[in-house]
Amino acid sequence: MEVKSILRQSLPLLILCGIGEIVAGSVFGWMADFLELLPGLIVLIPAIMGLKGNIDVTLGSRLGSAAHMGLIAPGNIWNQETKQNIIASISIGVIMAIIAGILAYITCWLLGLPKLEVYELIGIALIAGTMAGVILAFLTIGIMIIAFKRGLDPDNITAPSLATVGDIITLGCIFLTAFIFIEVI
Amino acid sequence: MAVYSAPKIIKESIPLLTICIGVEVLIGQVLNTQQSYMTIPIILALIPVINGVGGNIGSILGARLASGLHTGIIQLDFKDPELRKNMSSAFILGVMTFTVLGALVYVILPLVGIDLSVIGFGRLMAIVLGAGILLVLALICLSVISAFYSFKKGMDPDNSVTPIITTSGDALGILCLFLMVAMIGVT
Repeated sequence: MEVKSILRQSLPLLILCGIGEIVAGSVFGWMADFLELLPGLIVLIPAIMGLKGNIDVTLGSRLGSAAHMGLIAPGNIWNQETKQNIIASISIGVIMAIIAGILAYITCWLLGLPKLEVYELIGIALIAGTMAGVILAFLTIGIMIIAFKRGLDPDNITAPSLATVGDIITLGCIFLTAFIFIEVI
Repeated sequence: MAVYSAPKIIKESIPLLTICIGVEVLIGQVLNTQQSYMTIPIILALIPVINGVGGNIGSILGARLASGLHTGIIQLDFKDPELRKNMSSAFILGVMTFTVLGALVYVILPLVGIDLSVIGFGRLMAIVLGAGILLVLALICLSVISAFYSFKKGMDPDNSVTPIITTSGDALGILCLFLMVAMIGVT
């Protein structure tokens, strides 16, 4: 693949994603008051966000390799290879949410920060993480289909689009979950 | 029998991802202690941009290297011409993206109420470009090393490069940004 076509496929999307990050950064600043109601969430958020990005970008990355190896193609995108990858991605999300909840609890405890109960932190991570994970897994497939249709290399577009859209969807899921928790508790 | 197996992917991913969230949480806590820097709105606004775009460029390169290694188009050799081409694309991509984003930051931040009149266009561009280019250079090297190392060890680079790049990108991005801010100044 030529340098020029890599640039042409990735640059517009990267700039769009950069704008998304500028907006996300500004919006995040406004949510500070909300975080005080659920102590420990401030530690959990970067953990869940980092995690979702990693899990879904690696899914996109594997599917990109699978496409290059001829294991998935436009006609048979819903085959066993794709299913194994999606099952793995969603399972990793569930396992890692539990680990993230425990880790956030331990971090707060070590630093003497106020915190929710450990099962509450795990609960928030599980609900928000699984919700975001399922949405993003299907979004990944959608991006693959678009890449196939337009003749783009999935490797050039899955990482930036999933990372940015992933941040926004994950933040949305965390705040939706936090909102439900505040209403219930 | 599918080439990909969910249990194998899960087994390869969990340990590395656990380390990554540990590091992410640690970075968050270190940032919380940097009150002198973390109360400057321009720095807060630039962190996600630098880290996010740096991570994206490193991850694109990682995904491309993984596909290249899987299909045999890229050989495990630092002198491989296809590898060189991918590395230089990532660098050019970084320079172009950060140039455009530096200008966009200058336009967008005042719209959300962040004053940039003190720092000015020249110093803002110098900080964004300087930090961005430093970060991209570091992540290109890390991406190649981690892709080659995983492939050599029989791991799927698709599972390892992205977490390594985004996590070290978050740590190195903040480091590059603070370095440029310290050198150039924002006040």
